[in-house]
Amino acid sequence: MDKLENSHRLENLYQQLFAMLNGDYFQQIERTNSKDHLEALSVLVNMITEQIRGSIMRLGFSRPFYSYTVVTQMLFFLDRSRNIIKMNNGVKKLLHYEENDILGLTFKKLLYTDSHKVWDQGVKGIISGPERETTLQLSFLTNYGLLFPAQCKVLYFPDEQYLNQKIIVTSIKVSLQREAPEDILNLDLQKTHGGRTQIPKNKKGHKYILNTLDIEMIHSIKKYIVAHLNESIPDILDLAHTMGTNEYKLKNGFKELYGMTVFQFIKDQRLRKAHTLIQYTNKKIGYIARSVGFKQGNHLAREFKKRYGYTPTELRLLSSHLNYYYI
Amino acid sequence: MNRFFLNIMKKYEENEFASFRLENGILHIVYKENVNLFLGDAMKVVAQRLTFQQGKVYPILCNIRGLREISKEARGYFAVEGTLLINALAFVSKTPLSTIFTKIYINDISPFRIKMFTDETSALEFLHPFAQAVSR
Repeated sequence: MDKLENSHRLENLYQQLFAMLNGDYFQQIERTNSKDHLEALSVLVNMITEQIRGSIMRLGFSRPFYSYTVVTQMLFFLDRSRNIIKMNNGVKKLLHYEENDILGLTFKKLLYTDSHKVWDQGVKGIISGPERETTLQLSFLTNYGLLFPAQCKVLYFPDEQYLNQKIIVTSIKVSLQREAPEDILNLDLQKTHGGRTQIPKNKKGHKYILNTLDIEMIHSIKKYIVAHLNESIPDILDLAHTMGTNEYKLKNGFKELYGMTVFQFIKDQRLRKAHTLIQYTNKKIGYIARSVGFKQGNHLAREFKKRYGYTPTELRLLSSHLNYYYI
Repeated sequence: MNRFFLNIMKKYEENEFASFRLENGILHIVYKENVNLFLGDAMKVVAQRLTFQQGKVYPILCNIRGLREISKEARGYFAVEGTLLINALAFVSKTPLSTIFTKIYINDISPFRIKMFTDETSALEFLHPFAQAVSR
């Protein structure tokens, strides 16, 4: 633990935790090839960051005064040698470099080694054409030693008069934008020129608040469903009572946590499993339907077509050619 | 159509991520060194495993010591599609990193018996009764 290399890795862990403390869930800890406790901790912290980021994003869907906003985080202009010739302030802010550190630098040097191959292939593709733009998932290495993963749009300009063979790299971020109730009030007043003010109603109704015990209970119900997917699932009321809760809490809590109703979840799991079994085995479709919990093959076929746009038989025919040898 | 499956009983296969070996009714999966698994990779692993098993259910001994990273999407795929045609699963975990990956996986999944071991002999003992139920 006291080795110099480990102290650098510990420092990265601290940096990440501090970033999270400050509400920044968009960075990640650089991974190494070690398999020790520090590495396991780094993986856990990265996963927790990702989970919190996801939760915050979901919050935006249902909270009345929050909405998404798309902002450009970073913008780079690269010359024909892929050196950085111009950038926006977002780069300094997010990667914690000074302008002088970055201008003239080869863009690839800002990237974490795992992203080098993605970058090389992406740029090669847009230079050779015919597509002149691409979207790449890249990880930048910040000056503090953390990783900054970003979805980047990369555009190549082969013949333009002013952008001859230059490349633009831009990353965008979707984040929450808070609009105060009074802002909405003012906007509506302006719209209605002094008429009756209407505050937009939250169409979803009030949000269901879950405590830790609720979350644990709903997670157990999900596990129970997954473990008994091929059986007839008891009705919601029985399921709720078996797990020591009420129907209302189960219905609303499940949707709140997993973004779909209990029945949508069951159908989703059954269809995904059926799809994979049809694709990669030669079991009869009726057998597959029953094995994943559909009572009949035609019930599967109907739901399958609705979800995927093709029938189980069509998928089987196509997959048979791809996966198996025939005589 | 007069087409029949050729039952090619392969005992070993591998791809860029893992090797698959069938021995005494138990499927041994060993991930290669420093493998990073994203959704597309997880789909390839599951596809190859299911094709290799030729529709049969097997107990699996999984060695994930080489696994370096697994994305959230890949974990989600393993938790659903990745559980097919398995009646028991034993993880052999010898490093803190693979222990964390195993615990996260076990926390999400429960459609069959799963257990974590530090040595392969105990893992095989656990899987042995499940291998009796299926024969190739």
